[in-house]
Amino acid sequence: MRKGLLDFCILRALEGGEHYGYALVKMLVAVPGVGVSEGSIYPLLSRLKRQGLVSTRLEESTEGPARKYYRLTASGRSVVAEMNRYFQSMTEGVGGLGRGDFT
Amino acid sequence: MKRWTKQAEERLEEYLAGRVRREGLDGDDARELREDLRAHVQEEAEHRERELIDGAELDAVLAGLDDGSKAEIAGPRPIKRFRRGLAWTFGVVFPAAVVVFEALSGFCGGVFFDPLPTVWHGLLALLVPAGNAWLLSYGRRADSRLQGWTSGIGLVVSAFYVLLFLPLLPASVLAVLFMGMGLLSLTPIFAWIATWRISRHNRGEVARPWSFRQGRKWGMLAALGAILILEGPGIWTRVLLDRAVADPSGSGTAMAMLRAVHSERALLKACYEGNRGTAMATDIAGWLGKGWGITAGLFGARSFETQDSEAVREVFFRVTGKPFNSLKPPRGSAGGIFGGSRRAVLDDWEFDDHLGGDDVAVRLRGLDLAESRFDGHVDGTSAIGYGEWTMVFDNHTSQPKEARCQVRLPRDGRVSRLTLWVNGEPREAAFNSVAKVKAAYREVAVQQRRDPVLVTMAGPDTVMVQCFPVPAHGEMKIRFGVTAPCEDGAWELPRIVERNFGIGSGLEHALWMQADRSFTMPGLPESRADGKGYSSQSGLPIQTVLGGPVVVELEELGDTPGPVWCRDRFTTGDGKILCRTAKPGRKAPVDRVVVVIDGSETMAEAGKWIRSVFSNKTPDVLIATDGVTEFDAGYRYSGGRDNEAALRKAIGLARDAENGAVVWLHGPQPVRLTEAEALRQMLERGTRQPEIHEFEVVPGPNRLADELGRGGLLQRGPRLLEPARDLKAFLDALTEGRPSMDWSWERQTSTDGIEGREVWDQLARHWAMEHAESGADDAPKIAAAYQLVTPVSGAVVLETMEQFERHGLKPVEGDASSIPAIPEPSTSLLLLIGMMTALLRRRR
Repeated sequence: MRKGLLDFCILRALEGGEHYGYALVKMLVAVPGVGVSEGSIYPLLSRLKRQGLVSTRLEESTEGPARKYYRLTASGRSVVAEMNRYFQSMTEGVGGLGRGDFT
Repeated sequence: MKRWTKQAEERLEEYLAGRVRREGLDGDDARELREDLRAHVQEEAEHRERELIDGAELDAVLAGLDDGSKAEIAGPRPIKRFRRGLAWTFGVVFPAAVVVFEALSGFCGGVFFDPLPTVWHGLLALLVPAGNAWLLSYGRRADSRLQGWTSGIGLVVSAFYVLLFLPLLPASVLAVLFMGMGLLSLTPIFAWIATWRISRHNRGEVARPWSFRQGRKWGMLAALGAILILEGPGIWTRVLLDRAVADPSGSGTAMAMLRAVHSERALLKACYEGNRGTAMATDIAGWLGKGWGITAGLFGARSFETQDSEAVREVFFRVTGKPFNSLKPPRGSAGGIFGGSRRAVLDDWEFDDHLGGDDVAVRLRGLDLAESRFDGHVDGTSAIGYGEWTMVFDNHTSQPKEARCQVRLPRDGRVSRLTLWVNGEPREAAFNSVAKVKAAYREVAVQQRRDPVLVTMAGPDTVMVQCFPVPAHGEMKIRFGVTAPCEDGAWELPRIVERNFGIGSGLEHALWMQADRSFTMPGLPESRADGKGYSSQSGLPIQTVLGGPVVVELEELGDTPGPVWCRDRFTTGDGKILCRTAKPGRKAPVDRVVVVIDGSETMAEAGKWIRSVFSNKTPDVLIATDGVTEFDAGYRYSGGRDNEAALRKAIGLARDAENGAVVWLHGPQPVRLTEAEALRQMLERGTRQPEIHEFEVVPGPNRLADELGRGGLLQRGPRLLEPARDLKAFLDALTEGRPSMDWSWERQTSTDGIEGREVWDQLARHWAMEHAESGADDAPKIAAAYQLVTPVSGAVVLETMEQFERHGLKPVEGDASSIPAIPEPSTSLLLLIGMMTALLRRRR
């Protein structure tokens, strides 16, 4: 999967709200066609955090280690909005192929 | 929360470290990734069913974590070029080259020990370079566990060979430093170092180091198992052999353990080592014990002790029940597993420590019996047979060798002719006292390395034939004649019971038999009329004369031979007409018969028919088990047993009766396990001296029988053609009284009034054979004059008249009248005409 697309998937997943890292990873690998391992997503999350697109917070748990939650930053929301527009136009463009309308 | 094992925690840490390294992260980023992945794994583990998270559970979690990620995980780091070169050189190229070199040349095997005695050893050794090559190339991306397996196998196998070659390390280093050679023996050490480095590098690169470690552990165990299977029996045998040799009684724990489990290959190899051995090198098991002696010797310390070869051969017999020289010599010298020209050269170098001695001893490589021919004539009228055995020995090696064998003659038979071909010309032997002929042989053959052949008695009805030198890459041809009386209308062929040479491939025993009446013999076509007699001829498998007795049975032969006479051309007195009359009689019945059965493994097959003759209730039946045991039908024949104790007890029991006898059923005993003097004393002293009737149930040399037979203390029992039936009949005859045949001899100066038929001059030899055994003062002189090999005389052929004269010997002249020969059928006709003419004259 193109690396940029996976970034988009992560940002899209967080668009709806904050997610616990483990759950976020499970959600992403369940998407058909993602084709990456669970362990590979964490490095991407780290990179997105370094880029300032996501932020994290730790929540202590009585049942185990502290849980890390991810959410979008303002910068991240901006980027994902732009990615959404780009993906939308690309989807429409791809869908129009084969109808023979070349104008 | 789930419980984690320490092992699982360690593995998790390893995994995290590997992931971070692969991602190329450090500092805070590395720490964050570790924490994220750890949290994920722990979360995942909480969803598992089991309460305890161990290595297997963790493996499953981590597999899920990496599943589908193989394309994502970065490949192993490239190895620096220099290190890769070293790894390939010392881990792959050198070890592979050395294994192939040793397999083809057998170089180390010819000097120190054979590191590749079998194909399996070669394949095992090749796993090291093959495994390393794979780990350095395609294997780097393979499954972690499989890499571990390969690594483990390579580590153990290379370590094993390091252990073997470590004693040579000091000498090898010196050789490399001062002579620029010795790298061959250093290669295993370099290979092990390279294998270890490759293993360590790959362990750090694999996706699952814990799987690698597990795989490596199993690989090491598998390699260790393979080595134990290949060498365990040999090591076990060598360790116990040392203990068994140190225990002269032969009945200790070591011997019992060896009989239960042993490596015959290792035992046989040990027989060819030691102070009287012939092999230069030992095997792996032997080297493990002796190899350090070399290092010790290098520093002036006392080297390892050389074992007594005779003691080792004794142990071999006691454990296996077989004479060591009845088996093909081990391939211990330069025997490369794939063969090689170098092997032939190194194989030549076998020092025969028994040259000129009294033992047949070790089987020599490269010396074979190439041709074998027997021509025999049996005369029913005189009940005497004469046969000539021609042998051709072939030496394939580049060293002259001595051919030696023991030949079992027909009962009461004696060698009466000996011929050696020198430069294609036949030379006849000189017959004289044993001391003279042996001294002549030793000086001429052993010291001067000329052409003689020697025949002397080696036991009851057994001769030792020795000829040296059989020239390098050449042949030697000899012939010896045997004169023997018939026994119950049958004449037994001579046969080889022990030999130091091999048998040529596809060799047949060319047999020609003739007689004055029809006869039968197993393996021979039916005899056909030939002139006034009968003959038959065939090429028989050579095994015919290497095993049990083979007899020619004459037909239409009465129980009692009629009177016969001959012209004795050997005598110097006036009584040149020698007459013989049969005196049938009956031996007194025996009061008590004690049976001794050899408990050795070779008797196992005979045990089946022995059980049909005796039962657990039969009294006075003993089994020789090194000690003595009462007969037990369920007895398991094993090892090689010393019969001396059982014979001693049997003689003691037989002496309790007024007229007792011992019947001894035995197989081969090729080593002197105990001294026979105590037995001889029992048989020679006292007023009651029981007869000992010995039966060679399984053919082969028996030193105890030879010792007793030399003193005339043994009588050969009748042939057991149908063993159970014939043995029962003999035992019954012993207790009921059995028929006997004695001969009455008379000399006359003319044939006037003579009774009986004229026969051939073998009759004179028959008289001389009896006279030589009688203990008369002139026995040696008579034996020599009548050209007989007896306990007091031997025969030797030397190369030149000067050699004969120097030793006070006179060879038989080339005069045809004094040399025995197989009569032609036409000669028989002439004899018949002569006899008829004589009869007609008498009637007038």
